[in-house]
Amino acid sequence: MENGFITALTAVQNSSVIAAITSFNGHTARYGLSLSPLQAMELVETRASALIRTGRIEFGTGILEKLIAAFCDSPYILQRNYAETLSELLETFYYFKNETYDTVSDDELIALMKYSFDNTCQGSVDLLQSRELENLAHNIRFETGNLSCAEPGDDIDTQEVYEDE
Amino acid sequence: MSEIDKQPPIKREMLSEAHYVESLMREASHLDLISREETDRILLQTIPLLAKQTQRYTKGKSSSVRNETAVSILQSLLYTIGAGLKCLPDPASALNALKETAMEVLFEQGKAVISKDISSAKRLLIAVKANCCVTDNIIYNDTVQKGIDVFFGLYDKEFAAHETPGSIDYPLTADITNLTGIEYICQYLRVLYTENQFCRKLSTAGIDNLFSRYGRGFREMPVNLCEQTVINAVGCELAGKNLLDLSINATDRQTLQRNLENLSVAKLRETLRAAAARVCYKLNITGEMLGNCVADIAVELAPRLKTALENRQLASVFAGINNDEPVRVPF
Repeated sequence: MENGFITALTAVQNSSVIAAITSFNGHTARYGLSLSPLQAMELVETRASALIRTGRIEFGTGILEKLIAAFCDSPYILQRNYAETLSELLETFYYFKNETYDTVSDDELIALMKYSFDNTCQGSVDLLQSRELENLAHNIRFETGNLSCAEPGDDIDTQEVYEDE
Repeated sequence: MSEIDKQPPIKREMLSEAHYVESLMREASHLDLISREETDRILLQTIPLLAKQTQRYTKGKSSSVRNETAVSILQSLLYTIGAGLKCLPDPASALNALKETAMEVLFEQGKAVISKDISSAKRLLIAVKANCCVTDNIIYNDTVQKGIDVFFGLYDKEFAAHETPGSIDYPLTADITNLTGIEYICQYLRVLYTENQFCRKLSTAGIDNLFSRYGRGFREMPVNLCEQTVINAVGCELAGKNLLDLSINATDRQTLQRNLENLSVAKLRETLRAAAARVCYKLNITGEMLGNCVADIAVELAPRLKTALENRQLASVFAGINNDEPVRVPF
């Protein structure tokens, strides 16, 4: 029965997610960013496969809307890399939800990702994944009490992350 | 005659206790009592309910959860709905309710049933503790005095109603492993209370003597106190002895061997059932549940007793209390 639920859940949600994220184009237009229906559909497919790959289930429109809202004003996101970057950020998000044992809330993780992406990573998703978020996951796994992305001594003030929000 | 009356009824014994809703839908589908559209409607109604429960689980801090977490919340949700549906008179009524009532309403009804079960299980535990057997058996004492309390401390009726946490190691005579969650605990406590009632009808010294045959190891043995006590009480009855001392010596076993060795298993069952009834009468046992418990233990003994009689090893069935007699540990 669980499999029936998951299949039905995916089918029901996909169409509503496409509609929700394309409706965000009005908001992102001021930054010169928009998603075509095809790109929106590809993002939804990426979301579905990322959820499967990370062994997670999401309800509602999920995290895509929040990622778009958080990253649309990034100086490193342009129309030409918008859909691709969102896709990578989406996969990164789910992966690190698992790696941080779900101890970091959606909003906290997005805030940390956005701060690192715009500052220490200068728009590199690779650096975000392999350095910043790995450090965060490491700190959580080994309970160092440091929930910032940076390594100890890097002087990143997590308070600043929340203030930025 | 309505449409549902013409259909073959769903047999209660075909349904799973732990996965009642799923098995009810499966069985109904198998018997063509539920259409594909109705099944889809139930599934689609469950999704928002699952989403709402998941949101409550994450306290709104995460829009996604791991598969195993979602599956566990879903199982809890269905278990809760199942608990409510089981209160209906039969599976046909439960199926009707599943088809015609909103899942959210069924969920609320199930939650009320579970809350009521928790309250009644807590009252039962107080009664079990107040009427427990006096024994050196650590597994019995730990389960009764601490292990079941752990369940109430850890039981999560919101998100893991189907799970049975705690340290419940003392084995019962009845197999209730088909149950889970609060239903398991309620039934466990009912059976334990019933078994205790039987043991308390007999002398503590007699029961102590019966189990002292196992030596020091008895303290840590996962052995049921009631089963051997019933067996020896029935043995005493068959040997024409006083029930209260529970002692069966070599002479008694010779008498039993002589009286029973020519009986078939079926005849032994009858003899044991009659002896169990006499034991209940002599001990003034009037409760149906306790009477059935004694009868079941006695009747189930028949094949084991037949083998023991054929091998002239009645000591392996009816434990004696003399130290020179060998003891067979039943595992």
